[in-house]
Amino acid sequence: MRQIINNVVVLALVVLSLQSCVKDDQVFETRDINEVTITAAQTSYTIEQFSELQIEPSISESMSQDNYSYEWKVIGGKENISKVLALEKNLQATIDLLPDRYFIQYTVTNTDTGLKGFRKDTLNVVGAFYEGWLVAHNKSGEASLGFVRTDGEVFVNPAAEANAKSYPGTAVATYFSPNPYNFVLFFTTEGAFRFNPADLLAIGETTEVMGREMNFTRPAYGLGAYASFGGMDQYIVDKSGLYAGMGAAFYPDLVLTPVSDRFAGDYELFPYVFDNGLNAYFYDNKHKRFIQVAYIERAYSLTPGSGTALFNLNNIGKTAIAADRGLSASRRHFIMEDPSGRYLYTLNGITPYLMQSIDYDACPDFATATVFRPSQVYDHIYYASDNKLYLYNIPANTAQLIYSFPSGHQVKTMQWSATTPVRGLAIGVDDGTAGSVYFFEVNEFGKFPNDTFSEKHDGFGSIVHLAYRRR
Amino acid sequence: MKKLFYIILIIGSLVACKKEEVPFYSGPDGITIYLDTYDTDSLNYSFAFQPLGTEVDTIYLQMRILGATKGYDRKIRVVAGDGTTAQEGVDFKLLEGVMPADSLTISYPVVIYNTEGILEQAKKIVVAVAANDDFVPGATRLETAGTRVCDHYKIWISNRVDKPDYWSDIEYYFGEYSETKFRFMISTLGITDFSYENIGAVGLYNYPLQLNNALEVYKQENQGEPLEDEEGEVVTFP
Repeated sequence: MRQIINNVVVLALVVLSLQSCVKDDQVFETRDINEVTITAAQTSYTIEQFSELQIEPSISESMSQDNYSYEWKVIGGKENISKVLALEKNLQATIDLLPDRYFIQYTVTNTDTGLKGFRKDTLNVVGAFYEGWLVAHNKSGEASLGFVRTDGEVFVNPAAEANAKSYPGTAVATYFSPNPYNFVLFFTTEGAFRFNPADLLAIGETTEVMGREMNFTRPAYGLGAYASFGGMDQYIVDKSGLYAGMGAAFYPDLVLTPVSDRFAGDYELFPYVFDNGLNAYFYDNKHKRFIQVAYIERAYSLTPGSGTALFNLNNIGKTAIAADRGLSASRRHFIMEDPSGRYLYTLNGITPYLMQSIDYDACPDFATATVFRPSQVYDHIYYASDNKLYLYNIPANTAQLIYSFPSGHQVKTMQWSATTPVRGLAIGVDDGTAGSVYFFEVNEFGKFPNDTFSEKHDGFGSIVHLAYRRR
Repeated sequence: MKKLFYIILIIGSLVACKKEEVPFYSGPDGITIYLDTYDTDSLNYSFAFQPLGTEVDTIYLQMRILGATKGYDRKIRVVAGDGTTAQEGVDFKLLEGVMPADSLTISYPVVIYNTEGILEQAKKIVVAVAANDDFVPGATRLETAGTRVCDHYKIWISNRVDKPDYWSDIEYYFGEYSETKFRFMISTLGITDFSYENIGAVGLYNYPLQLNNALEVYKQENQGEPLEDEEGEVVTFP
């Protein structure tokens, strides 16, 4: 019995082992496939936002020609996007991506075999408005924010086009706040609007800028104490009052939060902000004196003055009509007036430096001038009355006519141009409806080479303000 | 013989396994208030810290059943237990609860009112479930699945303003505390938490100016009289 059982077991094992062997049906044949190679003229592309990108790659095949499908895709950037641009062999597409660094990936797929060939290049998208002059103007009844790019390209109202909207009221001012703030401000009589400077897409409206709906007359924007470090505070000054926002020096994450309430008090500030490192300063046209605000404070105090100084900061007694820096960042010129005439008051830091009565006999049209701008390279002030532009020599207290714009035109605004497109003046001029931006290079005498402008850009409406948007 | 033994052993092991019967709850249907592990069994509620003009609010208590769900709605009886000092129907209201069909839990609403009676003194509501035709009070003093049963949930309601713990951190910006000042801050700005964590640097620097401007408006609207606090001191902000 045992032997029978053993035999059965052995037989079963043999049968099972025979069943475990299976023939391998794999085929090890090889054959060549058609491989594609993609070449292009460049490995890196830089393109301006909203421009058209064209790439014509060359595709070579190792064997006979097959059928292919194509895909152009942009990937990467801060937002880590993945966007198909085209499905054609050659790329021709408008790039509306945000300014950033991306990769452009080209995929060629053999529709017969499914094999793919890839190529990946770099794509740098730069904003259309990377450097130039912002122009606040009013054209055809619309408040407009224009732009003159450093290469001469003119955009009449790109903010409205980029955001597909019109802005209410009348344009009154524009400002650029560089890094770390990096925004453009545009003020109209009916609001404040904030834009990304790279593409002029809106990043805030009045309630986000000011904390409430507001109207504006002639606002100024500037940084306070430690401005060279980004400022402890930002300030907006208008006829309605003084407002402060968080500065980048301490609170870079809060620079886009709304500004404070109006500073309490009885004052009417001239729209100009300057600092001497620790405080921000303003001129009160109501009480004819300087006031100051310490950093991070939300109340002002009177600037200490002395009756024995060249002039008493606490008691100027005149109305400011113009102000800006001069030869250096610490030199501040104020054009003041009272019934007896116009005067130049100059501060060095916050110390009275110069005070002189303008000699009208030696300075034609100074009494009726409406636009003033100090030179930042010489001890000069440029002023304009109607269509005439004069050069005022501060030490000599004399002035001379250096340029006349066409009859019927008026100089509306003037800014100092440090380098771009010239070292000199940027001037907005219009005839009431049609405006142009002029750039005048200044020579070693403070005048213009060949007594004329270097550039002129037309197409604007009535110009009210200019601001430089640096790279 | 040995073989027979092994066969019997194999057969025996096969019949040793049998299915265990799981017992179900067979008692009366119960209802309980329950809390999560770290919840407390009481709540302090002050209308002073709610947005201006809040006259009524609702506090929700979590309740669950004991027993199987039913395919029809069932009523829950909720009562004010011993220790309640607030006046039912005046300071608060306990509505008849409803456990919907096929449900295990509900959020039961306790409605509270901002009455004069709680202006100076906090009042207490002790919430408990009571027996009715559908439920009995459920298994009490039990913990299960990270929750625990609550026999009596206590709610203190008031309209008092107490000095916040964080005031010393913000005193430099808002000045010395007073109840009148704090109520003025709450009603002017519409917020109740003035800690730095909530208002940030923007609040610390900008709110005092906003409040000073509001005080000026108050003065103009009150015949030139400034706002005075409960001690007779003029309310100011730095």
